[in-house]
Amino acid sequence: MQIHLQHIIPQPLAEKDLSVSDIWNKEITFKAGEHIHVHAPSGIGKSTLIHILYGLRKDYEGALSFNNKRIKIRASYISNMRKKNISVVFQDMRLFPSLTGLENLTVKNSLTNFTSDDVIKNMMQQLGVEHLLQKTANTMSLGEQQRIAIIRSLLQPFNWLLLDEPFSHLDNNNIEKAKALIIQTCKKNNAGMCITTLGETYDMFFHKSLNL
Amino acid sequence: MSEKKLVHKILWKGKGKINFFFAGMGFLIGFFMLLLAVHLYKNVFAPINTEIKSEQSSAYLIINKKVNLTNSLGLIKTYFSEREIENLNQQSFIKRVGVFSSNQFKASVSMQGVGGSDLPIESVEEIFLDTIPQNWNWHTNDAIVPIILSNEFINLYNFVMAPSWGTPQIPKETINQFKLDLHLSGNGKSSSFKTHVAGFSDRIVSVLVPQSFMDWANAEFGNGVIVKPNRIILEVSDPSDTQLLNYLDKNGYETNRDKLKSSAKSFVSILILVVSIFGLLIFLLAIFLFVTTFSLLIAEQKNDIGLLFQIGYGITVIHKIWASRFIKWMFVLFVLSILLLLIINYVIVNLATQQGLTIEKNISYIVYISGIILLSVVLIYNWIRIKTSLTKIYQ
Repeated sequence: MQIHLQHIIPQPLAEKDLSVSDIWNKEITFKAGEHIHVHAPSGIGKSTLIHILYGLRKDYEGALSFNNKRIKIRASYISNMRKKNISVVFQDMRLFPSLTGLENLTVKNSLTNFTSDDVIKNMMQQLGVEHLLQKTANTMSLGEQQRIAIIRSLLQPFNWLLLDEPFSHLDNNNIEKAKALIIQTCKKNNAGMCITTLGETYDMFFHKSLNL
Repeated sequence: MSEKKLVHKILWKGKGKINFFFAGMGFLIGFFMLLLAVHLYKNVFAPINTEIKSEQSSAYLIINKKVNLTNSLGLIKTYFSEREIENLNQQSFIKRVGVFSSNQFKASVSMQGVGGSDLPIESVEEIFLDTIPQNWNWHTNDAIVPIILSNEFINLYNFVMAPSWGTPQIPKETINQFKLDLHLSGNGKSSSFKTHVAGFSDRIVSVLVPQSFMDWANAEFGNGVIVKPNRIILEVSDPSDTQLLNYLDKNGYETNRDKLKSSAKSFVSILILVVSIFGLLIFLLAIFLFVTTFSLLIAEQKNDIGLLFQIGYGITVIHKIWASRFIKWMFVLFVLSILLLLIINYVIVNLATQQGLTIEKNISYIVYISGIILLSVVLIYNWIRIKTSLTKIYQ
């Protein structure tokens, strides 16, 4: 699935000078399966970009198209897209605080039943969070929450994986494990990836590295 | 854990349970009262009303002259003159005038083993009887005379005389087991007749015998002096007609209108009114509480519901999960209301039977249909409310 951005200017950034940006107010295409790196310091709109691509924000000028079709604002269209085409790791994780680690994953997986219980447990082991099965999210550390959020994003079928500063609370060891799992799952899904960072590349390969 | 259970866990979190409990109780009481009002209307009010209307389509009034100081001193007679009867006949609001024939001889009724009493016996044209019993005729030389007793007479005996005399009360059904004898004397002759109680009447307050018997007895035992009637029976189309009432009032006539059923009617209609008003009030409050609690819960869970949307849940899925719970509650409350109604109906039917009233024992399908319609309106209303709240969160 190809993503095409045409002169997108988010309302909060309308007054700012966007001439140095590779994305805002430019025409740019993310081809299917590409790995895109978007880097910028805080406050330039990394989360805004992820939210626009994920259909959470509509307060922008310009046009966003998937496979040359402008995205629709119909609720059912967006829900379906989030279920089958685009997955996300939010910067602030957004887990259900009252649910356990396992429940947070199940509530996502039960939408599509795309991933088996065994694979989920494997993923948890791979990221070292199998001890969080019965722990509620509100008692987890930020690093633990981030790893659960990463696993949650990998449970559904997707063409694009959007990662908003996904390693911000992880140590190098855990970053390596998470990276490996993400790349492996994207490959399995033949999916593209769009990751935002403050500038770090985490020794990953990117088709495009864009300044926001 | 299944998807539904997990979503429920996210949406409920044990909050609002007390609110929902009270809303549920309110709904149950209000809904039950509304069903009860429909039930009372259908099974109690409507039959009484129809009965009254059908009676009113041809009502019978017994009139007599008011007894006051003037006529008790003999200055004005209490009987109706031929002119007065003729005048009654000429009134447009009176369909028919019936004259009671009274005995012109001494008559008494006695019960074997109990004793006897002088009683007036009367006869009236058959057309004025509430129901004409079978074999309501008498031929000369018949040994048994059919009689109709006033219900008032039986009540008077059972509830006033029997307790003070220490004699047993007589159920209506078994009155024929008691031998009532009629003793007639006059004109130098006397004779006794066995009687057969052919029926009871609400309309007449004396002992009625067939006209043929009265004519024969008056000729046989009477003194030849024709007794003018003290009481007249009128057939009218509308007993509440003001023209009629004014006419009766103007001529100093009074009537024994049977007010029992109209008073029952007004009691039941007041009861239905009170039950429906309170029922509706409680019901509306409960619905308000329900809908508000739901909205409050949705508002409280706004973040989690929003998060469900963000991870790919659609409005329809969440809406269905939520609404299905509401539908389950409504169904349970509907069943409980019906059970409550069945219990109350059982009590009402028993009470009515004890009071000698016959009412329909089964709950009408109209009650069920009204309940289902009411419930559907509430469900549709709440369905729309939940959907609107969820759509707002989605946007």
